[in-house]
Amino acid sequence: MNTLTSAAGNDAGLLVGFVLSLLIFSYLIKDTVLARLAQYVLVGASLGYAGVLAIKNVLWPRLVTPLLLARAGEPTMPPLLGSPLLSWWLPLLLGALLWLSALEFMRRPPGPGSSIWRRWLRLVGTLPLGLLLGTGVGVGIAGAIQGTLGPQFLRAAQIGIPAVADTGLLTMGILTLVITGGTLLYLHTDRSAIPKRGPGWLIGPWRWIGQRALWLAAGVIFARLVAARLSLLIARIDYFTFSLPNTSFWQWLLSVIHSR
Amino acid sequence: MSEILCSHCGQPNSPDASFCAHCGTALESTNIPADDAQNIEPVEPGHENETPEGEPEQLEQPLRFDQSTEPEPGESSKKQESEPEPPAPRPTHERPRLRRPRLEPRSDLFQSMPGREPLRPTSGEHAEDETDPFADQPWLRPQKAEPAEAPQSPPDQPWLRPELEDVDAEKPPRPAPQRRITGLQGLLEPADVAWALSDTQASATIDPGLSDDQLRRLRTGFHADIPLTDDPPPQSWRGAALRRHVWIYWLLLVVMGGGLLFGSAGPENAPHEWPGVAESFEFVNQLPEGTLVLINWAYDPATSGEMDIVARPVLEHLLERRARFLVVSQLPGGPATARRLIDRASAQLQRIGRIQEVTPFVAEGGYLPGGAATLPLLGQAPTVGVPVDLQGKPAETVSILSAFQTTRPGLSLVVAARSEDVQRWLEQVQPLDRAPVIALVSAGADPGLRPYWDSGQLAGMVSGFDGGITYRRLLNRPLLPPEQRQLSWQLAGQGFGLIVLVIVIVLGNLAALTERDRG
Repeated sequence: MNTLTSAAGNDAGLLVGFVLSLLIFSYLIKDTVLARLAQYVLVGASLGYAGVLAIKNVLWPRLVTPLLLARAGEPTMPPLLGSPLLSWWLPLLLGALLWLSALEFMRRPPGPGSSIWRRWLRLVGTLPLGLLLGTGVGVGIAGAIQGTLGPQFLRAAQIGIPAVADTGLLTMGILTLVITGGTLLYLHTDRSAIPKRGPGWLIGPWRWIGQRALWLAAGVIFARLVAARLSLLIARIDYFTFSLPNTSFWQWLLSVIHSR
Repeated sequence: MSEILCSHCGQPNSPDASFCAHCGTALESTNIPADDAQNIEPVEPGHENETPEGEPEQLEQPLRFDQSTEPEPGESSKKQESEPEPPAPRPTHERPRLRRPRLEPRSDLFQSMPGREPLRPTSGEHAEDETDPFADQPWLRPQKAEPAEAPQSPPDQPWLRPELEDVDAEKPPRPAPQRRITGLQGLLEPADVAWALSDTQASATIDPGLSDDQLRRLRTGFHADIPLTDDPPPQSWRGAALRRHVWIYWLLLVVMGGGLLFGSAGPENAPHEWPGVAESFEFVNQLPEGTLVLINWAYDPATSGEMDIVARPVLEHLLERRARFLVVSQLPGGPATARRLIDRASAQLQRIGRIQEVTPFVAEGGYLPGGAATLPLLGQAPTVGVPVDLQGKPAETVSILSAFQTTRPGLSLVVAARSEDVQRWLEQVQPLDRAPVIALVSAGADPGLRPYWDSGQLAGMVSGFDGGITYRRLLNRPLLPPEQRQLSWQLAGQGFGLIVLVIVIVLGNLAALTERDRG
């Protein structure tokens, strides 16, 4: 029974996917309401799924259940920040505050006779938002320094140590220097401002190299992107030609057609 | 009370308003209330210069707007000598017709323009007032005695100036204020009264002999930014052929479909062996049995058509090596996608007898929202970021999760369709747990991650269909018929797709060149 249900579910999923794929492909003919409908279904289903998943996988097992178990005196997961107040109650409060302030900000701005609670909510509601933004920015900057800037700089600096660098590395380093500098020159200097005499004459050719390097990089990215999209298209065609005919519904449909 | 019509724009205003709410013109007592305006009879053709009551035209002048009396460029000198002709019949309206006040030319400005006739008064009746330029607009006459006693008003608030009020009560009532400046300035905006009153020469209205449309263009031109570069603007191509991109889609689809249907006859190109694939295989091949692997699943069904090809051989390899997984995802659709592919890979391995069961080796950490801010928790310890499993059981009670509590992962696997997800992992997690990272990414993400591969931050990288197929070949095990078919399809499709791409690029360039030559 379970296997049967699973097979039926798979067939239903394949058929729904088939219909939605056809709707999306109808864009090739024209941007019709059918193609739009499929896109709206995709967006709506994604948002609904994400909301349910956040409640089921995150809020309930990681916030509500520990609170309930802790109140009942039963063992639960250890609080991350040491105490239940900081680990669970404070996030719950901040989250509720964020929700309420978001609802408040969706209303009209309070007028002279509005409740003081509304003004207070607008003021205090920015606290969790500020925490979120500040944490995100802080984590992002620290990560960029320790994960990208530092290692990439150290790697590039290795070419400055001839004892360490072999010929290949040295060549790669010089190329990196030339292309990086040329790209910077192309993006940040004006061609008319380049001096024609003196040491400045080097800037023009260097800038020219940077411009060509940008074109080359754009071409490489485009080519790899095309390869990625081709793989997606082939997978879809494979789905149409092989996966779909193997479904029970399709077999039944074929048998009905052949019997007539 | 009835509303008052503005003499400038004709819009109704409340009776207690001092200024028009639409254009800012001062509302004076001579503005006609809206109720009265309703009662004004339409002007009959040929009687525009008369009010219904037979009063002098001057009192009604501000409320009449009749462009038919405006002289055409070059006609002003002719009309000076002749009587004004009766205007052409116009359709009647309920609303009283407004008439543009007759304008006094500013001869010193426009007579110097080459090829222009000297500007003259615009009608016969104005020709009679030639000696007094302010006969038609007496409110513009310079004040002689009053300014000494009048209080000074702020120069930037000319509407507060007392000169504009009715300080001369003994004088006969003035005509209602009208557009004090016309021409370029007065076309769209209320007049600058201060400027008009401070300079008698400038206060004389201007008739440059241009149509309203020409004046609007001039005004737009004066407000446009001056181009700062010397480069000529690019030529506008018609480029219609390029915009008909639907044919490109159809061509792509037709050739791809044909290539797949006759795939065996197509070009059998070998996948390109990118750097990083063989290293990934060697790294996984040397993992001890039971190694903890932390997997960040950063793709969902939208890109699974490509990413499944990349991820599946590596997952099969890890399952063969008896690695233990903890799978987390920051995409809502990620956990389900991971579960589906791991199930397929394990079923495949069970079918060929490589493994017995997969359940003891995989733990689901589920959906992990919060973006980059939650990743450092995984770097501290995976169980800090995933303290409970999907059923809410604490980590210490789940076998694989408890193992992650005490042991750092031996490998981090980032399966991502975008390079940003791998980059974020290398920035937030790897500096903390120091675990080697293998990236399984789409072909589009490959160029952005090459620097990380070159710098040694990635222990391996498998990208795109060619990376996945190369890894599968390195596994060196026979393929089942469906796998073989899928592989040959992928290879043939990619080959034909690239051929189509080359054709499209060539045709597109030819079309662009052709269109440019025509343009």
